[in-house]
Amino acid sequence: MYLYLYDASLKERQYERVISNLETQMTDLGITGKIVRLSSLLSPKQIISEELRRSKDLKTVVIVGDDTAFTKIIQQVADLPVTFGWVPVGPKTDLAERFGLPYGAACAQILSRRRIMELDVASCNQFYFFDFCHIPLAGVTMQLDGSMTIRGDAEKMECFIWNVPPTNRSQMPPGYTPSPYDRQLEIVLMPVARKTIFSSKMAPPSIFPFRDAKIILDKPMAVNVDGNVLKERQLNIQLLPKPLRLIVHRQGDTKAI
Amino acid sequence: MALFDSSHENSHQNSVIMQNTTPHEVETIVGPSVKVEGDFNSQGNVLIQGTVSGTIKTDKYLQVEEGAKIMASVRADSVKVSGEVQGNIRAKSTIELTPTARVIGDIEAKTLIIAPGAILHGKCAMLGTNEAPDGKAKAGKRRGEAEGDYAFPKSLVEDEA
Repeated sequence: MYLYLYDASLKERQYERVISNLETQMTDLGITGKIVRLSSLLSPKQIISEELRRSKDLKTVVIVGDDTAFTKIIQQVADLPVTFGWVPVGPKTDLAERFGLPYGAACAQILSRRRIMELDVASCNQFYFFDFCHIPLAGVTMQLDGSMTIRGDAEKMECFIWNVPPTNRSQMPPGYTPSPYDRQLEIVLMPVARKTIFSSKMAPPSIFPFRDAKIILDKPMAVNVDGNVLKERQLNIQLLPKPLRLIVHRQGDTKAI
Repeated sequence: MALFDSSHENSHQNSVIMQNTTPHEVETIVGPSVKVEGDFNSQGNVLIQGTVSGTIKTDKYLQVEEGAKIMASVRADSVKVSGEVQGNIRAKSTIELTPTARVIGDIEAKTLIIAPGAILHGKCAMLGTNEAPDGKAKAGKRRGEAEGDYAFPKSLVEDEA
């Protein structure tokens, strides 16, 4: 059984046609299910947990919305024992494209094929993240996997954790490609080598693979976790022991099958 | 219109990126302005440009670049040193010391390459073909096996048999 979660922004008139086409496709392919239209008052976690309790047949939860909607919902429900599907509809669907998921009704075909990939998901304090985590320039001390401590010589460092390769690859160190399938995360540290009035010149980066990191910043900073900003001084980042099962298109499949 | 075109191009580029991405071999890089303390364990290739103290273990290749400083015992499959190492180095296959290398400690490997100009203060031990990878000759074996440090090439031994 399928449960469809429609993002609140899809109530706008411009998406009416896309949604009706999608629903027609779903009926044609026999993948219809219960539809829940999300609002600010409804918690996706509560909805899925309740449906799981009501019906043992619920195996797939399909999120209908753009990148922001998907990552926002995943931040709350990544640990639930269901397979996720995603129909990208909305203004920004870059992340979906990276998994080969086409816009709108065309995605119904992919859902019906059910090519499931297991993807890494991490938690950052109380939230789960799927795409990236960015810590702005700060004095950073970190402990990785409980065994090593890392400090920078430079006053400040900028830190990135990418799970999925970003669209703008120029941000990444050359030769480095993150993978959402490798059951580990990597932290990329970019220390400031020289600071001028207008800009900061970055020193060569460091890359450390890890599964569990404790990061302490010199002061509370605005940390960007999948587009949501948290103001934190201490971050506990962990790879979830269970991967996220997501229905993807073959093109987006990074494992040779 | 241009916007639509560019987004289409982007989507194509992105799907190509994902196709080309394989589960990568982890490259750990300790940059020049980073200090690492503790037990450093890796399963991939490691490049050190900064400072490391404690222990370093990797299943693959370790490169210590010029300017890097390691105060740790090192274990790897193969090691190339261009910087400074204070500690013992043990490699399953090769240790290479380049002209700028400075090693204070014992080294142990199957193959050892020392370039002119490299500094080594310590003992060298070569791992024989029939020795355990930890370098210790097994005691209590047959006389012929336990006696010599020299290992006969396998082909010769098989021919005799």
